Amino acid sequence: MYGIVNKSIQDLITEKFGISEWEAVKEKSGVDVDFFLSNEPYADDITYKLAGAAAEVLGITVGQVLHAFGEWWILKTGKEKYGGLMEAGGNNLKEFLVNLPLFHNRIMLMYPKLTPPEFKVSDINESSINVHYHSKREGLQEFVRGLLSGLAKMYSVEASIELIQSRDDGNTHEIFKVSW
Amino acid sequence: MAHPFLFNETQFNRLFPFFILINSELKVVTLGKSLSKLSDFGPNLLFSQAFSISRPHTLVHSIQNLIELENQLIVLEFNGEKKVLLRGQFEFLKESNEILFVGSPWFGSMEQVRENSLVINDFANHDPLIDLLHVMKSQDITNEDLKQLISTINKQKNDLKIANKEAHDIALFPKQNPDPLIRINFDGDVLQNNPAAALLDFFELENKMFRNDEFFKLISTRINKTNPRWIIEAKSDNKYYSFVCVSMQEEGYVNIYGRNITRQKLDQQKLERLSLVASANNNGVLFTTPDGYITWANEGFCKLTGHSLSDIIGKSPIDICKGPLTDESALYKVLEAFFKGEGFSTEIIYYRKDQTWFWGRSVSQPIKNEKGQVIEFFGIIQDVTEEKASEEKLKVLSQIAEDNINSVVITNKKGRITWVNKSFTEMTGYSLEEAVGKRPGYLLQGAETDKNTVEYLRKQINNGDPFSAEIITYSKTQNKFWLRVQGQPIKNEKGEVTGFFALEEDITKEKESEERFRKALENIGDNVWEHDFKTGLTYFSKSENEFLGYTTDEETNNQDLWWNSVHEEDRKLLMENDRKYKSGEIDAHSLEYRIGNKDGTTKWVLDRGVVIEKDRSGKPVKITGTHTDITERKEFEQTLKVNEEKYRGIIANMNLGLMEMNDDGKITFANQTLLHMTGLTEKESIGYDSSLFLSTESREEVKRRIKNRVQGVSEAYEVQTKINNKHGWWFVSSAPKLAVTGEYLGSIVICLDITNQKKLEKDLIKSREQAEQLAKVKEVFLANMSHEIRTPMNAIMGMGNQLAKTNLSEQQHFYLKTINKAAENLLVIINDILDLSKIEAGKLSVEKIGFEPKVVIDNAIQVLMHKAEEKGLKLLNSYCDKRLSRFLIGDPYRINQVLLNLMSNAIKFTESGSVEVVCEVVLESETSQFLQLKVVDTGIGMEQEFVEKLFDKFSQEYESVSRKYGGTGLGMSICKELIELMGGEIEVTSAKGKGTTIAFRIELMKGTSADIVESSVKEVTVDLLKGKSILVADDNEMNRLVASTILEGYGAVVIEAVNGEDALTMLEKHKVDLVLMDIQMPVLNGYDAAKAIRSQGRTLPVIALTANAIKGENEKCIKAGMNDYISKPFKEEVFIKKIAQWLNTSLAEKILVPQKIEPKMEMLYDLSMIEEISHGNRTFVEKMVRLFCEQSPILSQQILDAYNTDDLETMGAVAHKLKPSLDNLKISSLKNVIRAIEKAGTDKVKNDELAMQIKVTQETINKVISKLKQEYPE
Repeated sequence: MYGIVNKSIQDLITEKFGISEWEAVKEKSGVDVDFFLSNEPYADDITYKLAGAAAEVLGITVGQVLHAFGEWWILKTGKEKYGGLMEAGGNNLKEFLVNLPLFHNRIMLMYPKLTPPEFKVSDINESSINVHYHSKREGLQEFVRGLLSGLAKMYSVEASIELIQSRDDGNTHEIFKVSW
Repeated sequence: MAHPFLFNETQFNRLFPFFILINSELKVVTLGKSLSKLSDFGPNLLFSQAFSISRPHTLVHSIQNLIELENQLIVLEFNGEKKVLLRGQFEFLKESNEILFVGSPWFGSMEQVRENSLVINDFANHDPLIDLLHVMKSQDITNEDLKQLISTINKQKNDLKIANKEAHDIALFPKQNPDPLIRINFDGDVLQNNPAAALLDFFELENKMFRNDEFFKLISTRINKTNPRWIIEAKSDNKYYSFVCVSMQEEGYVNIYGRNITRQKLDQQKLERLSLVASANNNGVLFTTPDGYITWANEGFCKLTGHSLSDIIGKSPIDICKGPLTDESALYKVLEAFFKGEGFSTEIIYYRKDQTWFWGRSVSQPIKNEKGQVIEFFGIIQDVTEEKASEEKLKVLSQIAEDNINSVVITNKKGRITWVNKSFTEMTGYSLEEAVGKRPGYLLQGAETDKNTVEYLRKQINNGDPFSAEIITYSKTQNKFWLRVQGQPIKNEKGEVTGFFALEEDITKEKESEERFRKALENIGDNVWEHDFKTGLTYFSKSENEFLGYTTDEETNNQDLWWNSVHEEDRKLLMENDRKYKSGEIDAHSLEYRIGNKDGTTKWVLDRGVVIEKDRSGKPVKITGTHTDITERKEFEQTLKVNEEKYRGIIANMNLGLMEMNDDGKITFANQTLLHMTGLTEKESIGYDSSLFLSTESREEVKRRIKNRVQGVSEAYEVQTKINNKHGWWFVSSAPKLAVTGEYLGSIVICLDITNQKKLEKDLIKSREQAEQLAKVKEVFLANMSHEIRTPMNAIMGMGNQLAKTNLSEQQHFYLKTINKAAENLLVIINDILDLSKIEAGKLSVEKIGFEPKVVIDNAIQVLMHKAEEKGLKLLNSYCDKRLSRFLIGDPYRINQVLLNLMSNAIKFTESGSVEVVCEVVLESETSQFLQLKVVDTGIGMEQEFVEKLFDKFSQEYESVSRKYGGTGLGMSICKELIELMGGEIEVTSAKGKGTTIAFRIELMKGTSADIVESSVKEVTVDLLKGKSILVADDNEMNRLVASTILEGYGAVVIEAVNGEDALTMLEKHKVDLVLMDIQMPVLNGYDAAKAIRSQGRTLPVIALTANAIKGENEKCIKAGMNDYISKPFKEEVFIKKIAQWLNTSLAEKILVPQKIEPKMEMLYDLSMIEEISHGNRTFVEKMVRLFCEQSPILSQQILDAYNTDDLETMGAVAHKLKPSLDNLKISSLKNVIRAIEKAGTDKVKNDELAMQIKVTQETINKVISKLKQEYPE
């Protein structure tokens, strides 16, 4: 994963829990990287270790860590780092989600070293949409859920996110139903 | 354009959501959906109102202005509330006279996108602007990251610097350090110091006192930029200090590291005083560091070693003085002492600078400080070389004396013993203590001691002269022994005798062996003599008289006797010898001369002698020697010489070349013949390199053989020579020449010039090769000829046979018969020629298979029966021995061939009477029978002369006979060859006009029925090949015609191909069951075609069809992938059988090949017989036909029914009933079938073939009926 992901985790922990907590997480994880460069790819392992260590240090589940991180990614990282890019994804939540596949496909071209997930949408209704998540990576469902939740927050919409299909149940990919 | 693009507005909007369409009046006709979002564009918008063109800057007055901008990059500016740039291009639409702008907004950041309320899907999917902005954003993020990273690194670097400085300061000024440490700035102000430094208030430098601040100021004045480090020594508080000052230019201060050197100072002063003492010493004096490096040396050391002081300061004395002779272990001890800090004393060899050396005695002491630590070593080195040398010399001498194997005795001047060595004690039994003070004579002399010698010794000692004597002495235990005493006086510096030194040697054994030797010599018949030059007397051993033939004491003056006996002519030899001894030219001699015996005979004597004593000037005093009688040897030598002369004569004059050579091939001897062979003179030959006789081809071989020679091998071989540029051949026999010791000296070689023989041999080989070549050509010619003739023969005979099957008039039959007969004769001749060529080439082989001899004889008779009958002759097997074994093992075909030949000859030459075959068993053993077969005729007979030539090739009695009877004259010769090939013999008895008997005898092994090879080919029927498709590949049209005519006659479908390639094509096109393949065809021959067929994976049978009747052809065909082989011209029966065999056709009927095959349906039956009977009455014929049509199916059905119910009797009876009808209609195909059915009925044998026979009968009858009905419609 690109360094920006790890950096974002660092920012999240530092801002929410303080720098010493971050140091503790880093030490716990055994990750010996002082500085994450946003646009450099790092081994996926690092991200997983950081998430695992964060869960241990902060006394929450890995799922909770990933969820928080998903929201953080949209609301802080996306908005702060990429400015209008997030908002340019659509004028409202629905529009953004409809554009999501397109959005990711563009990203794939821009970051050749990235192994991006692929998103698809279906069942587009007035107040709900099914987001299909295809990824080679395991265990990031909660991160996706956090992202979707963060998006809803960005558009100031109260939304519920339901995982209606998962690879854990032997399916090929996850489907999240986002209702608002 | 073939297909103009057509988009509807929605599509166009998706592609270019920011387009603008402008009409000729510059009004905006339509705007893209995303562009409309930028502002509230009202209707009737003028382009120039809302937009301006910034690049290329253009004022728009008319549409023409825009048209001119076609094909350029355009930057449009939207003049709304927010300025937005659009990037794109104009296109003029000719048909509508409108201008189209397509492009996209150009934003600098994602924020601007949002400010204009645009989102990602307002941009066309192909538009990369958003991605571009994203990339720029990423770049910003990366830059931001890097800035952060740099500031992080800088912070870490500064932190490290500070930490480093703190650590440094702490290290520099440790509080506990007893040495004073001070830091001053460049003005001399103290910046920092440790407690030890703070205690120092005053300093004495260069005999001046300074307060500490003054002192540091002084130091600061000595700062030198080019030398940041200097040392000052100063005294403070009664202690000496060394201050190392280090100027830190960048930091702006000087670190001063003080050290208390009081003790060193004091020691140094003390040492300087000592050194002063030491430097005056002649011995070498050294000071070294505790680890052994020289700090100082005095002049004495420099003189001793040749080094200057500057050479050695800082070096180790060991390194300087060590050399090859220096004792390493002593050095090691020195080093050990150094390391332990202990004093030492040693003597070792010291090397000087010039590599000479001296023995040095070193004494060294460590100098220690108060704490007992070694601070220095002090050493003295004394040259003790001379002392060492004399000590060594003495040691060596006494060692020599003590360890001498001879006894050493030293006496005083009066001859009393002062010292004896170990050997003396061992020899005499007297110990040193017992011996000292006694005279040697007193201890050793006894009864047998020679008084004169004792007197001599006494006199010499009294005179102080050297002495030498051999004397009998006695040990302490009174053991007698011979002693050799050699002694000389020991003199002091003044030349006075102070004592004697004597070597004594026990020579008892020597004396004894001398005695034994003398006796031994005498015992083997030699005389021993001794001559004294001083006295001129010669003493002889006692047997001298005997030697000369006198009694033992007959003559007393042996010397005269000897001299007088020497042959007068030889006396000068002895005189000359005497002279040479006296002049010192020789020390020994060996002479052979003659002496006269008492009885008047002459003896040869070998006189040998050697000097045994010389005087001081080296002249001989005594010689001793022997006389040996060598008369016998001399005689033997003489004989040898005579013999040698004899053999030398033989060798020199023999007709073979002989040479002896040494181990490098150089000639040492060559006889006359060899000289003659090589053209060398005797002188030239000696030392001549024998390999030069050889041509280059043979040199390697000879070299190799010489190696064998060294191993002791004798060989005979041929070599090629080249002498005087003439090539030739030698037959060479060479043997090693060995020394008596077996050592290889060279070779003895006998050479025979075989050049002429070689030439003959070569010519012979050439002739043989030519003959062989000729034979081969002949064989090929015969083979080709046979092929060329056989091919048309095949057609002639084949077509003749086919013609014979058709209806012919009698005249035609006669002609045809003549043609066929001629053809058969011709074939016999061709086969004869071929056989002959095979026999000559040795390629004809005879079979060894089981056969029935009686059957062979009967068959042969059967074959020729018609010929005999034609001539009205009786042909019979008149006698057949009852003992003839039923089964024999041999070649039935060849026996048949011989019999046929003999019989046909007999028939040919017999006009009336008979030809008989007689078969007798002449001899019988358990395993074999010796047969005699005779053909006896009553013919014209032959004259004896011709009988003798009968078996010659191409011979007939008279030319007229040949004309009358025809034939090649080869037959008899082939018969003879064949019989001989089978291990038999042939014999003729004949008399002109009285007939001829030809008998042949062969021995054959007995066999059993198991040895008979069952023929796998069964009999065939007319429609045996019905429905089978056969491909005939042959370039000869006639041959194709023959084959296809025969095959079609058996119901086969024939496909023809004109060559191999054509055959392959035909195989592609048609379903083929079997291929008949000619071998010699154009385009693609039979072998290659067969290979191609196999490579295509086809497995159908392929049978070769060739006129090449050469042995090996069969194997070649099989190798090419064919299954079988038929040679042309073929017999129809063989041909069909072979094909049937390969088609694996089930042969149900045992029917012989029909003599006449009706190739067409019309010939299925023949009404000629009925017609003949009818004598032109057509009604009769019709009636017969009708009857046949009515009855025969019924009868044939009855046959079948009877067969099915196993009522064979009825079946036979019905067949019998049906038979005449079939015969009347001449339904020849059923002629034998119906009889076979009838016979089976009579015999009540239900065989396998019966069902098929019945079926064939029914079918044929049906065919006949249907045909008859066409011919005779009711």
